[in-house]
Amino acid sequence: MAYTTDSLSPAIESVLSRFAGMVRRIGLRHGLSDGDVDEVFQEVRIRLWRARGGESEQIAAVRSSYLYRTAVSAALDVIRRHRRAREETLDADGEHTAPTATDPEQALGSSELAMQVARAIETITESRRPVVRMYLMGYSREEIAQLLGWSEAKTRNLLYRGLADLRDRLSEQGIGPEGIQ
Amino acid sequence: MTDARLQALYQQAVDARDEAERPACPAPEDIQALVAREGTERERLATLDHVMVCRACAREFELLRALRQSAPAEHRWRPATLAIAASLILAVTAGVLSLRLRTNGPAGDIVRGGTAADVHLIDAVLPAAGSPLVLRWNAVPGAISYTAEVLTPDGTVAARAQTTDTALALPDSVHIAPGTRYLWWVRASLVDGSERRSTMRPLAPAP
Ligand SMILES: [Zn+2]
Repeated sequence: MAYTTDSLSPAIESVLSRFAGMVRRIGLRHGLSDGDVDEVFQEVRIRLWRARGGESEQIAAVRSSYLYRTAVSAALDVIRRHRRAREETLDADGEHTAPTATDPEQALGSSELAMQVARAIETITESRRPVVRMYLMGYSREEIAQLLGWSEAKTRNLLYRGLADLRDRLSEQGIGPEGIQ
Repeated sequence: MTDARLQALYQQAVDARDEAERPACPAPEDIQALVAREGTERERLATLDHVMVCRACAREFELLRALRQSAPAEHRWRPATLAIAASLILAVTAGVLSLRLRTNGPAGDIVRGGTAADVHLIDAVLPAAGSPLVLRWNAVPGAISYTAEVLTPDGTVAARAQTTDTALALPDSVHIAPGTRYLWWVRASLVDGSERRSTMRPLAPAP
C-alpha cells in the first residue's frame, strides 16, 4: 500500500477524525469551541505530515500515545497564540472602558446576589473550594473525580461539605433557602 | 437554594468578573499538568481554583481536558484472567455456530441482536510486512470507550485492550499463528451505561 506524499494515510485520517469527534463530544457540555478543536487538529495534521517517515511511523501514531502527545503540544501552541492575540487586543484598546452592563434593570438584583455567592465561596475551606467551583461551573461529580483521581466517595464528601459551607455562609448573610429559590 | 440556582448565580458572577481584578492566569503548562494529573495535588488544586473563576482559562482547560479524555489511550493489553476467558467460551461457541449458519451475511459477520447503533468492525489490516495488525471499527454515537478482544479458537481471550479510539494495533506479544482462526470483537460502553457489541470476526488480515 503506497500513500501519496502530500497527504496522510486514510488510516491516520480516520483515527484523527475519530479523535477530534470524541473531543467535540466530550467538550460539548462545557461549551468547548469547535473552532478551537479544528485549529488544534489542523496543527496536528501539519505536524504528522512533516514528521511522516513512511508507513511504520504512521502505524506508530495509531499505536501509541504519540498522537496524544502531538495533539497536546499543538493545543498548547494554539493556547499561547490565543493568549498573545488577547494581550495585543487589550493593549490596542488601551484606555477604553469596560463595556457597560447590557440590561441594568435586570442586572441589579440578581447580579448583587451572584456577587454574594462569589464572595461567600472565597470564605469556605480551601481544600473544598476548587471542587465546589468546578461543580458550580457545571461539571459533574464523575468529571471532578476523574480529573483529580479521587474516589467517588471522597469527591462526594468534599463537595457535600463544601456546598454545606457555602449555604451556611449565605444564610449568615440572610440569604436563606426560602427567599431566592 | 437549589444546586441549579447556585450554579446559575456562580456562572453569572464569573461572567461579570472584571479581567483586571483577576489574579494572574497560570501558564498553559500548569493547566495541562492539572488535566494530566502531574505535579502535587496542592499545585493542581490551586490551578483549578483559578481556572474555575476565569472564563479564558476555563476555555483552555476544557480543550485540554477533552483532549485528555479522548486520547487514543496507551494501549495496554492486559493478559485476560481465566475466569473472564471461561465466561466467554459460551459466547464464542455460539458465535462460531452462527458463523457456520450464516456465512453469506455481509462480510461473513455474525449478527448478534443487531441494532442501528451496534459496533461494526471495519477490518484488520496488516499495513506492511512485519508491522502489527491494526484492528479498526466504526465509531458508535455516545460511546465513551471501546474494549477490543482477540480470542483463540477455543475461546480463550488472548488479549484485551480498552481505548477511546476506534483503532488498535495488536501488541507484539500476541502472535498470530499461521493457519489459526483467531476471532476478534469490540464492545462499546456508552455514556448512558449501556453497551453495544460488534459481531465476531475471524482475525485474518486482508491479503
Ligand atoms: Zn485565567
